[in-house]
Amino acid sequence: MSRTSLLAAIFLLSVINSGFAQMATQSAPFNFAIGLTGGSQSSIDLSQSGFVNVYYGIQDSNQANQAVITQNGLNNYSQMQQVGDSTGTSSGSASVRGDGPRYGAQNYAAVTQNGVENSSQITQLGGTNVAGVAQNSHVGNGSPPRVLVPTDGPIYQSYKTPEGYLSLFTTDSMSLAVWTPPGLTATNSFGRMH
Amino acid sequence: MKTRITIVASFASAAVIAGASAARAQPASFDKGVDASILEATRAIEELNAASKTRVKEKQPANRPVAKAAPRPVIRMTGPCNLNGNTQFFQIPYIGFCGAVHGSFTGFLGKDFATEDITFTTQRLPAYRYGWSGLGLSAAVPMMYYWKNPLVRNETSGAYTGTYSMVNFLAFRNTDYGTISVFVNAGLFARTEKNYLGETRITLNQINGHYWRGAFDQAWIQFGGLRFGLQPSLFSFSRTGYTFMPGYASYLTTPAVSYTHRIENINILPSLLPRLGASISVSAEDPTLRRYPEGVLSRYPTGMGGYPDFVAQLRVGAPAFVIHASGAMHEIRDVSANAYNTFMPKNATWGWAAQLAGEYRWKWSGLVGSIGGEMYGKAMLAASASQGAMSYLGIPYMSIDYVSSSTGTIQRSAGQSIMGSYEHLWTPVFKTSITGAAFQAYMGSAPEFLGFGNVAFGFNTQVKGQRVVGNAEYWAGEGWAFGLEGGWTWSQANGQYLGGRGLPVAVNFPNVLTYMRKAF
Repeated sequence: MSRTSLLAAIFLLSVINSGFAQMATQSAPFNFAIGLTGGSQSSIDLSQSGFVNVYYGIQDSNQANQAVITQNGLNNYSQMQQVGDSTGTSSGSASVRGDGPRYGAQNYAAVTQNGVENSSQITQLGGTNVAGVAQNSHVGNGSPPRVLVPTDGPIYQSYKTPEGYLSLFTTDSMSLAVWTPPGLTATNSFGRMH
Repeated sequence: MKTRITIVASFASAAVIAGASAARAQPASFDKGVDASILEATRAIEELNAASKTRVKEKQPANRPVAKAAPRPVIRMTGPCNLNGNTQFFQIPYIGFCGAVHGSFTGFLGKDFATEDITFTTQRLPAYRYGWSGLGLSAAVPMMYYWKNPLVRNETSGAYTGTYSMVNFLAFRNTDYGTISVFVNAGLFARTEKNYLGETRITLNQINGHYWRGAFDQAWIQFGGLRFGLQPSLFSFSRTGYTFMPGYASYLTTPAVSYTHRIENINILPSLLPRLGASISVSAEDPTLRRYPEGVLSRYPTGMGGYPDFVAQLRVGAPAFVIHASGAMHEIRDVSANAYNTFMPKNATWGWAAQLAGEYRWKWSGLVGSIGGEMYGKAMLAASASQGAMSYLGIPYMSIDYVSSSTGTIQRSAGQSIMGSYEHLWTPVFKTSITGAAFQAYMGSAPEFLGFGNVAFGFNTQVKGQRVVGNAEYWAGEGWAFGLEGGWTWSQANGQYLGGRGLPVAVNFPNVLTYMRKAF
């Protein structure tokens, strides 16, 4: 897909599915993201900047699945599966699937990878499928990827999203972003009481 | 009379031991005022104890002849409740028991200056695992994050105040088959507290969700060496040292059945160790108060179930010192892996804990001559280690007992704690004391694959903490005492993820507290 088509796909996504994306930004040396979403609509907006960037995603909403992935690094790897069809062929992810009638969802995927080694795999099984991948093997004309690490201890952030839950954890060596629907969300916190 | 001594000593011991209820359920600055607040009652009992010993010495020769006993009723009261004019024990009508009531009111006002603290967030990462319906996704692979939580400043804004007031009741009677004794220690344990939103509430102590249970610190009945009911854990030695706020050592009262065998007057080096005695005790204790789960990576079943905690204790002591050794076995019963994937087993294993502690008392003039004047000193040291039973370390809720893998494999946490304390009695009415404590704990999981990609996720998190507390207390007479205390706490956490060491996070904060106490 050309860059123009990719931009068109992103624009289409932003028009149709605007308003419920929770963007995750990762900038540690090693960035790992897992996206598992369902419900009526699913939206994943991810930006990774590090030496190694990895994203795995399964989206199984019954109306619309959107994923915008940007990876800047030496090694970029992206693998996603957008289902949302009427038959639910992704039997292994039954707990991810959105409820309600399934008439064939709209799937939109846009992946931009800037790195020495770029790999992207997209599987779409919806009523309307749009995907665009842009890969550049030269990172900013030879400049190293931008890496930002916290300086005062690890950072943990969590968000309640329309699809479930997004947690972000960043320390100096790695970053982890996890989207999970309610059925696959299991988190808790503990600590000293004052 | 010997029985009387034992009972009085037991009462004193019980009063001293009265202490920390579920440490994890209470703020650190709250859960241990009880030790100090019962000192007056303890002191009174010790006086009675000394009086009874004097009477034994006066009235009973060491080798008195043993007369053949005539047939007597099965249960019969022996001796009056009045002892050398001491009126602490009174006759309870009709039932033949002697009773004594003591109590204390303690009010405190404190300020915690912590503006941030370390919080641990746990998560089970979604992964492909086999289940009843074949391969599927589930919340599976354990992960733990640690971070600096700024919301703590809302909890600590302003000062807090509260009370730790209680009544102790002891009743006993001697029978031909031993002594029956009953002890109840109950009261009002309450303080003001703020939540993350900064809203002030008055909280009453509660245990397992019950206020009535939180109002009872001890309630037991003893026949001979056998004791039933809510009583101090045999593992316990001291929670606070000689200060008001706690250090890092376990002190818990718990529903239990215990048996103690006392060995008195051990004749070993009598010139060096006069009046040496020992006790050996075993107990079965409530395991639910010793559980440190967080619900996602570790979860126990509801209710007691399974085995109780088995605890053993050995104490050797003389008037000047006591040495304490205790050990505990705690059953871990995990249901967390099964909760997220019913195909996974509910595994169980055992955790353990051990403690070695001691206390020594002296009069300074005995060490440094007349310059020591009338000053007294006492010092204690306690060291504990545990694997899978972190409550026994007496540490804040900064560690969990274990981490359960996605397949239910239990990886026990490990840790150690140490606490030392010294009290200096400058004059008969003024003392100062200092307590230092430290702990470390390790939690971790074996790396596991999520089911897609080739990255295995695991973590190892280390937590450390240190604390210093200083105290000054003045006894104004008539049972009144006034105290001022200050402490400083340091805590650190660090972790390893995907083979790389994470960034450490550290916090430290002071706190101050003043209290007044009236014993009656």
